[in-house]
Amino acid sequence: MLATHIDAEKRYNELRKTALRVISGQIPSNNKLNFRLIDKPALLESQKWNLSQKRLVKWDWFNSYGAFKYRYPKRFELALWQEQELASLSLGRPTYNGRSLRLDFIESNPENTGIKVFPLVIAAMTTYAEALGANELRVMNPINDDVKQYYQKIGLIYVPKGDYLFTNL
Amino acid sequence: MSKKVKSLNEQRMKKKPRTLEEAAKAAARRYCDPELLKTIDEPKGLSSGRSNESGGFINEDDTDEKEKDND
Repeated sequence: MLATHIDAEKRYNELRKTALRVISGQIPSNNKLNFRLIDKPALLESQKWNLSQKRLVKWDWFNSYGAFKYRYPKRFELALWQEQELASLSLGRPTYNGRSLRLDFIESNPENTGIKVFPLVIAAMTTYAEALGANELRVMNPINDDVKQYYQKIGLIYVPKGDYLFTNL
Repeated sequence: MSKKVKSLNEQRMKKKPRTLEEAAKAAARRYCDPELLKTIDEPKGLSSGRSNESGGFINEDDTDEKEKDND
C-alpha cells in the first residue's frame, strides 16, 4: 500500500469518526444507539443474518468490505448498533466529481423489529457529505418497489436512468 | 444543468460553510423527526445495492459514467 493511500485512509477515517460522533450527539439517546465504523465485530455479527429466514439478500459483508475499503479511502461507512445488536450496515463513496455522496449498500438486520434505520443512516451520511463538501446524496439500487417508495416518502427523488434516488443537501 | 437548478445550487453554496454540528442538527431535524417517523413504516429487511451470485458486492464504475452524463 502506498504511503499516500495510508495517509488518505487515516485522514478520512478521522473525518468519518467525527461525522458519526457529531450526528450521534443529535439523536435522542433513549434508543441506546451506537454509530460506529465497520469493524471486525460488526462483520462477524453480520454473518448471523445468514441464519434469518427473513433476509432478502445474500450479501457477504465479511468478504466484500475489504475490497471496497481498499479502493475508496473517502468512503462512507456505518455500523449502527442498538445496544448489543447490529441494526444495520451501510457503505458508500463519493462520485468522481465529488459533488455527490453515494450510498452503495445498506442492509438492515432482517430480524430488526424496532428502530427505523434508514433515517439514521441518511442523517449520518448527510453529516459526512457536509464534511466532504458534497451537495447531494444518492441511494443506489433499491432492491424492490417497497424500498424505493419508502425512500420517496422520506423525500428522495427516483432517477430511473442509473436506478438511484437523490436528494440535495 | 438548467439555469434554475444552477441558481438554486449557487444559493445553497452561499449559505455555506456551516459547521458539522449545524449540518448534523439539520439532518436530524429533517430525517429523524419523531412525528415524521410515526407516519412512515420501514420495509422489513430494508436493503439497497447490487451483488453477484456469491453475495460479493458489485460496484462497477460504469454507473459513475452514467452519472457523469447526467451531471
